[in-house]
Parts: sequence; structure tokens; C-alpha cells
Amino acid sequence: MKQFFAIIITLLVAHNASAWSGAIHSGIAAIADANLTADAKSAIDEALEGHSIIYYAHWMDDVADSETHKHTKSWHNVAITPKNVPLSAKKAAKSKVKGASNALALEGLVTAINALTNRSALTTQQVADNIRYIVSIVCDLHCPPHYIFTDTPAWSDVTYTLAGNKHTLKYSAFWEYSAIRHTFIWKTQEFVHQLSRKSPEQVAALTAGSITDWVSRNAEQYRVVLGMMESGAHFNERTFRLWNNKIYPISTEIVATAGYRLAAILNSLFDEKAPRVKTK
Amino acid sequence: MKRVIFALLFALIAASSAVAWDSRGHSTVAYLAERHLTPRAKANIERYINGKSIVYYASWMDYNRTDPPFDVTNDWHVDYWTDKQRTDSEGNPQPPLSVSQIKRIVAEMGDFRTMPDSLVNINIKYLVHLVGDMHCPVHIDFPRFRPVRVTVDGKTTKYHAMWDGMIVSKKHKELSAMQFARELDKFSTEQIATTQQGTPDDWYAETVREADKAFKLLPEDKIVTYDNYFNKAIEIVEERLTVAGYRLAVILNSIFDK
Repeated sequence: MKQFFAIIITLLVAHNASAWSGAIHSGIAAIADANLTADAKSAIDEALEGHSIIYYAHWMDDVADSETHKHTKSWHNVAITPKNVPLSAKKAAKSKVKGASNALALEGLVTAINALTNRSALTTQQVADNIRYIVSIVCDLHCPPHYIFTDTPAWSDVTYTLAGNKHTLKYSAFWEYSAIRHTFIWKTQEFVHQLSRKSPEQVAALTAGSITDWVSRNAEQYRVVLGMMESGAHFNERTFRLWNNKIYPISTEIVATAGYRLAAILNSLFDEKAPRVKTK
Repeated sequence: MKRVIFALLFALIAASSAVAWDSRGHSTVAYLAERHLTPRAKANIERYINGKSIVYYASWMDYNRTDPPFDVTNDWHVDYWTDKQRTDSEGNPQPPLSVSQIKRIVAEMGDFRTMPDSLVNINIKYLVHLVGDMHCPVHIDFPRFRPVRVTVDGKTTKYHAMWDGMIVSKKHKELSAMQFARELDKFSTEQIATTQQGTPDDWYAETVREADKAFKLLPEDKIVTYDNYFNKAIEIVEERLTVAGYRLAVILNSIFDK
């Protein structure tokens, strides 16, 4: 256990970015893939030339530096008002809050959805790219540190320390790697087995409302999550385990929610019989 | 940076296996058991654990063993007694706590529908974990194994840590627990029935024998390699995980298939 704890520390020190790890992206995509209708799955797999959405779960991160996709660099975060409403691109651009002007994930998602709604005008490459954008952005919109609250400290300013390690660690990095991994070492299909278990009524509740509503509901929950770490907290191995016991049921539920909502969006776009998902 | 992260993640996976009969090992046991639950037992169980799989809670006891409401369970996992045949204050032979707790829970859960939901929930979590623990050779006669150190790849480590998960990690690091359970689930119907016979006391006595067998495999200089240890020990690991899974299934079916 001490070895595991030491490696968790090393991971947290090594990484400063704030996005779900590739494993979590793949897990979310796998849950979504398992909940696609047959028509939607068939159309999407064809658009992706035989690959599933799981294959491209973190593709947008991988191509962010390319000339073709550099416009997606601002499609990872979302800025949130004190009333848990996502800031519009116009207001975000004027915001003085750090990172808010580049927090256009919701706009990116809406752009990709609108493009696919009228996909007869797109090339096959553009259809594939927009599917891949949606997969990545929905994952990011269900990762708490991607929410920039305009009225609270930034996630990266919330720090803590662990016994046996001299570094100060960022709470955002904890969410990326350890919120699930400190407890479960699932591989892709295990996410499906463990988390794709909702009843139709539960799925309907998770996917009720528009995508903007989802972001507001997420924001409300993620504010609570942000408050679960007192900045400057110090843990030893035991207290970190006990604190994690409060986090992992939340993080696994967030991942499940992301998977079902991603499926709902893609079903809405690629299966005429599926319920429509509205953006606003 | 990405390469560093990848390397660390790889190490994390290996290390998490190294602490696990409580993670990968326990999940493997639970996955295997789940494959042999009757539909009615599975439905009844999942009703009490919020629709989750039993695998979700395979290591719950480890994660909560120092949490004050559950710290009484801290001694249930391994056999801390120094003598193989422990006795109570009146000199009566007693099984280790993992076994006595399994027997207590099975007896209490005979009519689980009359019990508070929260008690059924916690007893399921206990059973899923303890059946795995009582089949782990190094959880038996723990004081005998505790001081033993072995050398693996030039590094000294605890014999207990090596057994908990490193052997599986060395041999099958690419397999998820779910896949590993599928690979192990190869017994015939007759073999499964035979495995599931007996009582927790019988199964414990069997684990004592396997623990001794595993210990005798160690080379005299305690320098462990694939050739002199892992390739032989993995057979014991796989057999222990497999029979634990089948036995967990029969216990849960006996309680919940009604």
C-alpha cells in the first residue's frame, strides 16, 4: 500500500494539467458506446471508418497542436456564474477571471452538434471530426476542474500535501488521475460493467433538460466537490484513504452520467427515433 | 511529459496490483463469483447494494478498515495468531476471524428479508471480501510470514506483498480483473460442484496446506525469479482465486436465491 501511495504522489506531482486522464475518457466513451442505439452505433462506426468512439476518446487532446484543430484549444473548460449559469462566449471574453475567456467548451459542443445536425453539407472528414469533438468535450464537461467558477478560487489554487512528500499538490490534478484510480484500477470495459447499470428511468432523469441545463446541474454539484478539499489540508496515508472514500462514489457517478449523456447526444444526432437533445 | 505520465501510470498499475488480493485479486474473485450467481440471487443482492455489481465492493473492507465505524473489522482480514490452532478462553479451538465472521454472517442472513437493508448491505460487502481473504495463503499464519523478505529484480520486498499481487502482476499484468476471471473460470460443472462442497472450516484447512506449499517453493536464498518461483507460484495463485470465486458464489446463492 505504501508503494501505491508513493506512486500516486509522484503522479500528482508530475502532472499539472486538468483534464480526465485518457483512461477515464475511454471509460466514458465505452459507457456511451454501450448505450448507443443500433442505428446510431452503425452510422457512427461507419463515419469513423470502422472504429468505435472509444478509439477516439481522447483524440481532441492528441491533435490540439495541429493547424487543423488548434481552434479546439479553448473547447475544454466552461466558465460559470455564481448562479451556476454558463457564461456566454461574449461575456466570457470580457471576464477578468483567469482562464474564463478561453473557457468555450459549451460553445464548441454546440458548434459540433449544429454541424452534425446539418451534416449533408459536411465532408466525411468533417463528420468524423465533429463526432470526435463531441466525445472529448462531453468528457471534459463532466470533469469538475474544467469548471471555472467566477466567484471562487481556481481549482489549481486549492492545494494539499501528503505525508512523505515535500511537494504541494493541486486538487485539480487529483481529480484527473486519482479520484477514481486511487480506488479502482478498471480497464475500459470494466467501466461499462461497473457503471452502465442505470434503469431507463434513471437514465431519463440524468438526460432530462438541455445540454445547458446539464452544465448548470454539473456546476452545482462540482461547487460542492470543490469545497470538499480544504486548501492547505495535510493528509497521511490513512486520512487520504478515508477522504477518498467520500470522493470515489461521486467520481464514479459523474463518469456514469457523462457516458449516458454522451450516448443521448449521439443517439439524438444519428437515430431519428431517439429522443432529441436540445442545446438550450 | 506524456512519456513520464505514461511510465508512472504503468508503474501505478503494477503497484496497485502489488497491493492486491485487495484490488485486482479481490475483484477477480468477485467477477468470477458474479458469473456463477443465479439470476435471482444476483437481482436480490444488487437490490441491497444500490444496483452496483458485487465487484464494486470487492475491496470496500480494505478501504474502510481504519474508518472508526468499521475499525473493529481491521483484524478480520488476516490470521494474526501465532499458533495454527487457536483457542478461546476456555481452551476451545477457534477458527481465524475471517472464517468465524463468514460463518456468523451466513447464519444471520438465513432470512435476510427480515433484516434492516443497511445490515444486509454491509454483510454482502463483508462476505465478498472475506471469502477472498481466507483463500489467500499469506493471510494464513500471518506472523510466520510477516518477517520474511524476498528479492525480486534486485529489490527486497515483503513476502506478503509479493503474494498479495505481485505474482499476478508479473505473470498477467496486461489482464483486467474481469478478463482474468474469465480466463480462470474453466472448471467443469462437476469440478465446480466438488470445489463448492465442504464448510468454511474445511476451506480454511485447505488454505493452510496451500500456504505451506507456497512457502516451501521459496528458494533458500530468497532470490525470486520467474524460473525458480513465479512460474510455479502462479498456479497456486490462480487456483486460490478460482476456488474462492466459486465458493463465494455458492455462499451468496445459498443466501439470496430464494
